[in-house]
Amino acid sequence: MNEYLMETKQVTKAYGRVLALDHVDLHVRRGSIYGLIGDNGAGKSTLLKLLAGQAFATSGELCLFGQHTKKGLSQSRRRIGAMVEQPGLAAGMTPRQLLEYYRIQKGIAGRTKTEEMLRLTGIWEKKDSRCKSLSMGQRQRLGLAVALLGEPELLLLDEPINGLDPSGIAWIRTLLKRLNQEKNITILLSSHILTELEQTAMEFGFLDHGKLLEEISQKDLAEKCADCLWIEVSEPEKYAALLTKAFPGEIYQVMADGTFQIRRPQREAEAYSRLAMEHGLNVRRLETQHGSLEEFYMNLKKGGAKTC
Amino acid sequence: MLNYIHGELYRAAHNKAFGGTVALLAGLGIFFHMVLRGIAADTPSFPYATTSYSYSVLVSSPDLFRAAAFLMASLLYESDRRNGIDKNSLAFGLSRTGIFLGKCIAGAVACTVAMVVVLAAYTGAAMLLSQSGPVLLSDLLQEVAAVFPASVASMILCVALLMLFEKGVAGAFVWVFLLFVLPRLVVMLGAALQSEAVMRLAMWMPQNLFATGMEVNMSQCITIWSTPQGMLRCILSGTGCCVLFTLFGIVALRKKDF
Repeated sequence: MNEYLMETKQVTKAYGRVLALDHVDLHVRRGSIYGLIGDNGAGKSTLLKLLAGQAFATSGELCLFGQHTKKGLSQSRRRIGAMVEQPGLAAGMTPRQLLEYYRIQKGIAGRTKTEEMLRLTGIWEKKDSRCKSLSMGQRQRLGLAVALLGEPELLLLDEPINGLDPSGIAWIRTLLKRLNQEKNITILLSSHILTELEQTAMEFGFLDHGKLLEEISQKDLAEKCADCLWIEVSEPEKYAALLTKAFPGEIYQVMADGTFQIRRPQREAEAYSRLAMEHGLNVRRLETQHGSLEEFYMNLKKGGAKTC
Repeated sequence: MLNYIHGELYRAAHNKAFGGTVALLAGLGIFFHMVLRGIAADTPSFPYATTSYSYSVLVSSPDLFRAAAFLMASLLYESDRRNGIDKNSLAFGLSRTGIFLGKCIAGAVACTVAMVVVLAAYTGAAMLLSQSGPVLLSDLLQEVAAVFPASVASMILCVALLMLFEKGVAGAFVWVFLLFVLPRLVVMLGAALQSEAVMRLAMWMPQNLFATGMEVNMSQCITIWSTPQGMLRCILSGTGCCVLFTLFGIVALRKKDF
């Protein structure tokens, strides 16, 4: 299960003097949902375009399904479904005609596939409307239907929740998880909406200005983003001794300004302040912090500690 | 690539703009003849209500076919870059060359069908007119055979440019330059240098070839394709352009980012 379905090795993409991607090493395991996180212009779409064969890397190597030659990559892409930047809709066609067009192009037998995708992505009611009359969210759904044609083993989705309403976002989250669990489809999706990725992805990659800052699994992220308690007291040395004696096993760190950071506290916050006050120490600050993907990302971007 | 061509033919068949334009052109052809017939009914001395005049409109303007090929290819593929259609095909694992050639083949088939429909309507409506004059239906049919390769070349160039440029207008400018301006410039260069070789090269270009020795009017019909040598020259010139523009498309698109 640890096989990398997709890998990039030192991939660089330059547009003139601008480096859109700078020696990126990305690893996507088979069966995972990988969330690619980055601000606008971080290089997420560029990376997905390279993987989808829509652009060429300036240097480095792409590896899809263990293939890295031009021919091998081309053949591997037949096992991929992609929606990068825009869904690729012909304005004058209806969703049914468009899916039929792509079905024929992919050489997929049976018209029922078209209907199946229309129903799966929830645009059955709009099947005979013109694509140009579809809302942004409906276009995203149709783009997803195109990507899902032919039962791909790997899905590349660039900002798939763009333009979706809250129920649409919840729907796509459920759908992606279902596809991943039931059909074992590996999914690489990019987004700058971290709360959404946090709920969907199992692994994360953080891109900033074309550089992949870190890759981390959900488990490791949870470890790093565990809750922590900040407490500032009048006599830090005395409190450190009290803490060690009264609450052995607590993991804490004393910051330069004397503030204590207690990671994954095992007691209620009040217990820590009570300990200080019972020994005549003043508590100046007591704050419980819940770690999040966002904080982790912001810290990474600032070049700080790889924790929340 | 067969699947891709099949898909493109399906798309062409469901392209309302394409179908609408074919219907419009066919309708205009019929309307044109009805107007001629109507005028002739009121004015018996009206000289243009003849099949000869009707056919001469097309026979004297071979560039119309090349322009029509550009128009129809634009209707088929103009928005592909903007809408990300090509991107999806690339993501399916199709090569740039495969997409380009597939579009050229499907486009040529669709445009040929369109031409047959429009010409059938046009020549059918010409039956409303008196059948007289020097320009015959056979002249028109010969013209179709003579300009067909050059028209396909025009369409191939159009497909390549539409895939290369995001904006169709930019592609249109390059198309006009390569097909209409450049041949004139080569003639001017040949004249300026008094170079026989440059002039010979210029005369192989369809734009110059079709403009030479053509006398099509109400009293005579002299065309370059009326002789076997002339016809061969037209076909070779057009076929050469097809090969040239196909190679241009393949090379230019080989490393193109979409």
